[in-house]
Amino acid sequence: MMDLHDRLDRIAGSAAEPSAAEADADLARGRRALRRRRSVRALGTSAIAAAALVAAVTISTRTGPATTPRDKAPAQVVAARLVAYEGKQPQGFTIDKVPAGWEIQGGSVGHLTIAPKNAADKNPDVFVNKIAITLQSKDDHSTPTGTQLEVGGKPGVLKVAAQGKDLWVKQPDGVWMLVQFWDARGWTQQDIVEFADGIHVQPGAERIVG
Amino acid sequence: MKTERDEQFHSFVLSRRAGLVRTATLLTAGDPHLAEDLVQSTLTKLYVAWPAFQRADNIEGYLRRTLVNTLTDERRRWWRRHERSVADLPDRPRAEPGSGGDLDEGLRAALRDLPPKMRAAVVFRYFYDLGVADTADALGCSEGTVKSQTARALDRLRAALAQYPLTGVIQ
Repeated sequence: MMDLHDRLDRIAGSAAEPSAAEADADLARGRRALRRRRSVRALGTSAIAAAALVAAVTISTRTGPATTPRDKAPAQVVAARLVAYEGKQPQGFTIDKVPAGWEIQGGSVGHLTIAPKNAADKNPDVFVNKIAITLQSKDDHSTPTGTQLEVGGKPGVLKVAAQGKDLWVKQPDGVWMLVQFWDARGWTQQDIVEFADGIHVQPGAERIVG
Repeated sequence: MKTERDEQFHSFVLSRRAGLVRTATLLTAGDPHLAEDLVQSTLTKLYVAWPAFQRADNIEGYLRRTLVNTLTDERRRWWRRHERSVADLPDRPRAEPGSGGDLDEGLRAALRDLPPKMRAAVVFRYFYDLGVADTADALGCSEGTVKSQTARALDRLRAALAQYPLTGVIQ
């Protein structure tokens, strides 16, 4: 018999000491986040600047990739131009459209992850700066709240987060499908509805738990 | 050019990252990929709020709260639910017979079935031996909630690990 503490210690493992390069990478991520935060705050103080940002986003989403340096603006801001998806369809969910320059990164019968083709993170179980699709958890019995709308004739609810948006779409069997936009800047409501309307829950899709 | 904040943060990462990875590995029920993501996100938050972190009366408490907040962030939490849909963890050597590896896998699976805050309560109370008050502070809840959460967590772990009795725990 083993003590719980010992078992947890084995699971925790023996993490290696970080290299200077790893610390540099953490530092770079922190600096980028701080720059973004300061940029947002600066923009928030100026209505003119905010209007200019909206205009720039609108133009860039309609004309293709922006030329803004990577560190100055997240790539997701330019991702809302939808094109027909012609790649291999996954198991749980199929899609008609995909943002230009994005791809199905992976998933399972429980979720689908869509990400920029050049995304640094290739793990389909990580949804940061990506779009994730799933069905409402079996353990979540709440009714989504937010802006009521319609998605291809189905009831929808749009919930706005800090910079992302969650769109819930009620399926014919009563189960809600969630489309999570980690960063919805550059996406109009029409874009979001159009994208979600092209998502089809397949018979083999499974609801997650937890 | 590195600022004073950069220098301090860099030193902090070098001295504390390994420990953070261990904690994050437990908080994510043994998933190394999710643990790394949790550590990166936590460190990013710390850098952004570095002055406040430095001014905190209780640095360790601040660190634990940031970890838990990042873990339970609703938008992140959603994908953590998928932990259980991954049947096999890659890059993990198979357990040798008699090495305790089967027990570890059982406990890992049982932890994965706990809600994130309940899992965090187990980690802080029974791995780091934190008191109820400090655990409550880390989880942002009352001491009573910590007690009930840990009791329920132990019940669930015991049920899941019926063939491997838990020892070393006092409720």
